[in-house]
Amino acid sequence: MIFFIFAMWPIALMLHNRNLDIIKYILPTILLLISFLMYKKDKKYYFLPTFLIPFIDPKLAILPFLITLLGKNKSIFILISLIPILIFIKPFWGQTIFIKDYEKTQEIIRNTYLYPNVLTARTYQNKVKIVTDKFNSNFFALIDPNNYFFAFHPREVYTNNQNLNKFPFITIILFIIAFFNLEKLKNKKFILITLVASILSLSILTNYDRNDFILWVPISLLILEGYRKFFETIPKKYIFISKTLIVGLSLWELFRVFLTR
Amino acid sequence: MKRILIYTFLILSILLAILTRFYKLGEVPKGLYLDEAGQGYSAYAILATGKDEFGMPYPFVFRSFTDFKTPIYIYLITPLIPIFGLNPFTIRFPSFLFSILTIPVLFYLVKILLPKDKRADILAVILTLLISISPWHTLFGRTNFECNVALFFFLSGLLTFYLGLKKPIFLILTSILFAIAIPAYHSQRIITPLTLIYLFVRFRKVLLDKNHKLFFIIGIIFGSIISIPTLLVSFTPGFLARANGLNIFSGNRYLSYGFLPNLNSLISFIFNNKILLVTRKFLAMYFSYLSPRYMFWLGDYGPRSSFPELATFFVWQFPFYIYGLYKLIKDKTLGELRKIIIFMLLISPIPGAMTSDPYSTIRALPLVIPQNIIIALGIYSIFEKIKGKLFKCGFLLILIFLFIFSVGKLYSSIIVLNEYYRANEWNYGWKEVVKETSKLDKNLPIIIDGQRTGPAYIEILFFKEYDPVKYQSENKEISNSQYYTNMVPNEHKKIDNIETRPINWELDLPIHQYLIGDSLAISDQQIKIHNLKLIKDILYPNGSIAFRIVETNSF
Repeated sequence: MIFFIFAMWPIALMLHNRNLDIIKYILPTILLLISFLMYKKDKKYYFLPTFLIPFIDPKLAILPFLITLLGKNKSIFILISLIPILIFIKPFWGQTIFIKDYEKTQEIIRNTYLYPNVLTARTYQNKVKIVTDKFNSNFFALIDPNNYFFAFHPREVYTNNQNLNKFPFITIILFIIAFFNLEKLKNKKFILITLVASILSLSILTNYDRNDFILWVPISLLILEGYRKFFETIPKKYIFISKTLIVGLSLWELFRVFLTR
Repeated sequence: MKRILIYTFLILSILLAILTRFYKLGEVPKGLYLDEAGQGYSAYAILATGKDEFGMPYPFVFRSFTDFKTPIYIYLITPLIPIFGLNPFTIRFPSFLFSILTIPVLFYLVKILLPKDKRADILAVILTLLISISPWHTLFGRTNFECNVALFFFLSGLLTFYLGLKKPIFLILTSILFAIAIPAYHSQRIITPLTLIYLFVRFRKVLLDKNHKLFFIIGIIFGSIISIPTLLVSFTPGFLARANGLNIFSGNRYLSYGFLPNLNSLISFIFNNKILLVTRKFLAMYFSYLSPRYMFWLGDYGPRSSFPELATFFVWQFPFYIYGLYKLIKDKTLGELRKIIIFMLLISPIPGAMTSDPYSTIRALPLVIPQNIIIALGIYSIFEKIKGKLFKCGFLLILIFLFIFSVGKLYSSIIVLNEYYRANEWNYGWKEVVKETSKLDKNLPIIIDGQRTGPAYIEILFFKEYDPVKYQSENKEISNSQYYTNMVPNEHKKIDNIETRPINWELDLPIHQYLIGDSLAISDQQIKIHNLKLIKDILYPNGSIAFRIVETNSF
């Protein structure tokens, strides 16, 4: 039954992209899933499969480093996780927000002439702003619930984004329940580490679209936890109707994904 | 915290709010938007004749451009015109005044909602400081928007209600304030009744006990009497025009978000189901108001309900918001404050979510209060968590720096960038047009093409301070009996030798007259081809052409 909730994003991704490209987006997620299964079995080095992610897509070179760092793992693993960054430094750097942006620089220079003095101009119009603006734009898009449950509606991202339907909109309730019960979550450590590490590593990219599929794992886990919590809390007589509503609406949205193609 | 220090900070907040809202009030934003001019001239006409520009004595909602404007703001402008004159400053002054008055109201509201709690004073102080530099609240405190005035009456109603629980006489004042809030702005027609229901359900035992009952009933009577004028017109097409035109429920299914075209009828019936599509749309809109992306990054998409490079909150407030939200959910000792924040957080997005405009900060203005309280709670809680005097001092210094930086950011966005990039959105140039027309030959007709700027006649009336009696007699649009029901506006207006209508080159060229329009209406090529004499180009602050005045058949 839960399949209908979580199948939407992978199906939408497959329908909107070429087969060869999909592998690049799905394999890192599979590695993260393996990592989760290891975590569930209390394996100490559950994070090791993520070390392979940069070899599939160098854009995500920083992800294993962030996962090991946030997981407070031994220094040796943190050092090892830095190796992919060093190997792929060139292709990785070229796809980050830190590369020079000629147009934005010109805009900043133009704006500086509007200020009455150099101090205010330099304070509010400077080159650091180009990077921070891009980071903020990505970061806030990646933490936007409307991104995951309403395909970015009402403010879709019109450049370089497929605005895919990721999860059925009804499951936003389960997501919120999980969010407000973060402390009591079963897999709290894994969810938080992968969520924060993925969001940060995607926020520094010029275009995070499709690579953000890596977030499918932590967000699905959050929804799952919310689902569990929800059905633990509500009276028994409402369980059937609630499940019917969630499955019914998830199916409705899932079929719409096929029709939208 | 010492009492004197608390009140010093309150005064400081008020001074800071005056600084951010009063500096160049009336001059910035440059220009005067059509709605502002419309409200200003209606107030001017009421002052001069007791009737609006359509000849209707003291309307309950103002016909204006058949968009039927709420009355409170217009009646607030009226007594100011003899003092300050008819100008943008006067039109924006009530907004400024009520945004300042909101600060002490909020201060006392927090204090009364957290009685006998040592946190109340500090939270109230942080909140007032945050509101004084809030981009969202500042925007509506500098420009003519009724929502700001409505928010003041709503919050005052809330404050007096909680005071009324202790001193029942305040309940009469509560009903008066809430009754004013409802007609003050469209979204309050939803927010205030929901709040009244909530307050009644929550405090029904207190309200119906022997001490409160009499005042409660008197309050209902007073409130009802004040609401009679609104109720009298509440089912007319004019009153409902706004709600019908904007709400997502009455819209065409084929234009709904997520509608899939080219499906056969059965599949379309299932997958384009209107109830499901509208529910999804409503929820998408609703959650956008609570999303950090909209709050801290995107802001309102409307060029007049936002400033460049500024969202509704500052980015640095984001971590405090998240932590404050966490504290709000977990900390049950916050008592009534916690309940009212959650209630306001849940109901404030409803009016905005019911319309098709994404993240409309005008309609959801009451949301600025709970979200700022949450940020204040976050700041306070983090400060409390920090151990050691040195670290606490460091945290305070960082906060002071962020406040100063934020005030500078307001200056950068409101005064510098907005003027350069958005003068056209604020209908800049009409004042200059009117000034220039007074220099032209009075015997020649003037045609003003305002196709892209909207009903230009109102700007002419406003800046000319045109005699309302003369206008009422020369431009009869409808009879008083049709004022609230006839929805067809008269597009052609005549003001002395000025006529506002689209230029018709074929008919207008042979006549010796002046033509006024933007650079699309009168391009360089048209000047050359039609042998027009360029009298004046009126430029936006960024140097592009706002309006050009030409003379036909002059050679």
